Amino acid sequence: MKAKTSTGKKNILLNNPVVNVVRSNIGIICVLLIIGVLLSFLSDKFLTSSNLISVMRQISINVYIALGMTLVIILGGIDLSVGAIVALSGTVTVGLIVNSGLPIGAAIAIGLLIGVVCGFISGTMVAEFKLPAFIVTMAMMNIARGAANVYSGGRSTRITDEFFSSIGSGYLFKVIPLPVVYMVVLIVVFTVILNKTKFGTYIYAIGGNRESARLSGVPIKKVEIAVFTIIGLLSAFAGLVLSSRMYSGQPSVGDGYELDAIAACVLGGVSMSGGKGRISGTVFGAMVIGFISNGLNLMNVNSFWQLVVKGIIILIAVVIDSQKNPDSPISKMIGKFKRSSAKKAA
Amino acid sequence: MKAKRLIALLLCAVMTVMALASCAAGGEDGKKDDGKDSDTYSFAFLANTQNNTFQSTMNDTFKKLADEKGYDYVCYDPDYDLNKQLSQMSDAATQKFDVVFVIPVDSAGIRSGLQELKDSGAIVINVDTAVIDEDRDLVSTLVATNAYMAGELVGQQMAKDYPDGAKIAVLDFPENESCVDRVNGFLAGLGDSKDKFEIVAQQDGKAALDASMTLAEDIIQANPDLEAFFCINDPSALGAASAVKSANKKGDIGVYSIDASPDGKQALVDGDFTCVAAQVPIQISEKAFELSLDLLNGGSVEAEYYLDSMLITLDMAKETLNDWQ
Repeated sequence: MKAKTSTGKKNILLNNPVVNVVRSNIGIICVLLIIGVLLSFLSDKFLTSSNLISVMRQISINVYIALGMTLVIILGGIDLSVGAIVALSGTVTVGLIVNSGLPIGAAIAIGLLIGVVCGFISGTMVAEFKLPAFIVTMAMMNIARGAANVYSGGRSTRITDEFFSSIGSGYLFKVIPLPVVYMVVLIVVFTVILNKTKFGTYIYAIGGNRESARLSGVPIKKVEIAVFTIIGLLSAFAGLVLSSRMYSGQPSVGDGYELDAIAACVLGGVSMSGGKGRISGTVFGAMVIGFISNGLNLMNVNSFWQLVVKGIIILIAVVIDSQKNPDSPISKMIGKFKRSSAKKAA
Repeated sequence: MKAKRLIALLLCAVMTVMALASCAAGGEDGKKDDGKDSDTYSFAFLANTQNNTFQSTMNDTFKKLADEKGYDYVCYDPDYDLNKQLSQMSDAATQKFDVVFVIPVDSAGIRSGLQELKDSGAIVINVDTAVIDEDRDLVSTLVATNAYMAGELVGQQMAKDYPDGAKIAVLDFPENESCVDRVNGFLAGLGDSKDKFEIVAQQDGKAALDASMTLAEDIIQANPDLEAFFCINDPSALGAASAVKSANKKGDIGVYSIDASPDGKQALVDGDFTCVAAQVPIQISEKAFELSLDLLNGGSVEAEYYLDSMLITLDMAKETLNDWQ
C-alpha cells in the first residue's frame, strides 16, 4: 500500500531483490555482523579468505539439508530422518562402488534414489494416513540408520577413487570448493521454486491455513509427498558429498544433522508453526551456526564450553530476530514506552 | 477404506514377525537350560557399539572361539548409551550366562549392573576399557591393550621425526578412560624434547571422522605453521587426514594415530598417516576367552592383563591390510 503512494525512487528500492532480502532478514543479518566483527577481533585468522572459504565448505552440507527443511517446516511439518538418510545413501553409494564394483554413475544414482524413496515413503505416510510428520520421520530415521548399519555391517568403507573424491574435494577455477558451488546453485533453485512457482505458493498456502488451502483446491497430498521426497533427495545428495569429502562411507555419520538443519531454519526466521519463512533466512541461519563453531575452534575454546556458548548464542540470536514481530514482549515494551512518553509530552 | 485394509495387513505382518521372533527366542532359551546340565557354557559380550570395527572384530573373535567349542554366544550393543547398557546387564543377569565380557560405556557408571551380574553367578571379565578401581572387586579380571604404552610409542616416534620440536595439535576424547591414557602416554613419550613441542590446539574430536574433520580444518586455518596432528584413534585421524588433504598440505602436516584398523593401515600405505600404533582386539578377545575357561575350570587368574602395543611398519600394514593387528 505504502509503495503505491511513495515516490518512484523508493519504488525501485522496494522492488530491488537485494534490498528485499536484507529487509526481511534484518535481525539475523545483524546477528551475523555482530558475530563476524567480534570474531575478527578475537582471532586474526578469522577474516582470511582461506578461512571464509573453509567455513562456506563446512556449512554447505548443512545448507543442502536445511533448504529442504525450510520447505518442510513452511509446510507445517518436520523431518527427523535427514541425518540417517545422509548415512544410508553415503554408505550404500560407497559400498556399491568398492564392494560390488558398480560404475560410479550408477552407484550415485542408486544412492540418490534411496533418498528419494525414503522421502517418498515418509511423505506418503504423512499425506495419505494423516500421521504426524514427527513420528513418521522418527521411524524413518531408525529404519534408515538401521539399514545403513545392516548394509555395511556397521563398518566404514574406504574409497580412493579419484573421480569420486573430486565430487566433494574438488575446486572450481582452483579456488571455489565444489560443495560451495552446489550450495549456491541449490540456493538459487530453491529460491525460485519457493517464490516463483505455483508449487511454492501451494507450500505457503498449506502451511498458513490448511483448510482454506484445501477449499481453494490446492492438491495438498501431492504437495506434501513432493516436499518430503525433495528433502529425501537433498539429504541423499548431502550424504554423497560428505562421503566423498571423508573418502569413506560411514554408517555412523550424520548424527544430529536434523537438529542443525532445524536450527538454521529457526534462526533464519522460519516459523515452526508453518506458513512463514524464506530461503535467504535459512542460509543466513546456517552461516551464523557455521561462524560460531568455526570461530570457537579458531580460538581453541574447549569443546565442552563450545556447546554452552553455542546454546547461549542461538538463544540470543532467536530473541533478537523475534523482535521484528510486533507481538514480541520487547516490541510491546517499546510500544508502551513510546505511548506513555507520547502521553506525557501531550 | 483402502487405508484401513492396508493397516490391517500391516498389523498382521508385524504380528507374524513378532510371533516368529518370539519362537526363535524361545528356542534359544530352551537350549540354554539344556546347557546348564551338560558341559556347554553360555557367553555374552556387552559391547559399546558394533559401529566400530575394533569392537566388531572383538565380537567376531569371541563368536569364532565360542563356535569352535560349541558354546552359546550373544553380543549386546547399547550404542554408547549408558542407560541402555545397564538394562542389557539386567537382561544378561536374568538369563544367567556363565561368562560375561564387558566394555563399560562409562568406566564409573556400571556398578549396579556389575553387581546384578555377579549375583546371578556369572564370571565377569572386563575387557578393553577398565572400570574404575572401586568397581574392580566386582570383575574377575581385566584384559586391555596397554593404551598408555600405545600413546608412548607414538610420542617417541614423533620426538624422533621432529628432533627440533614442532607445533602440534591433539584431537582427544576425554569421555573415554582409555583415550585419556593414550594422550597421557603420548605426552610422556615425547620425553626430554617435550618442551620443544608446542600444543597449539587440543580439542575433543569425539573419536569420530566427521567431527574431527571440521575441527582439523579450523585448526589448520588458525595455525598455518602446524606440523603434526596426534589423534586418539583411526576415525579421528582419518578426519584429520581428510582436512590435511583438502588444505593441500599432505606431507607437510604429519598425522599420528592409534588403532591400526584396516582403514588406518590403508591410510598408512597411502601416505595419509605418518605413524600408527596398534590396538590388539583379537588378542584381547583370545586372552579374555582363555582366562574365562580357566576360571570356569576352577583356576585362578591375575587381577589385570595389559597386552603390548606396537608401532605398525609399512610392511606390516601391507601384509595384514584387511585385518586388525
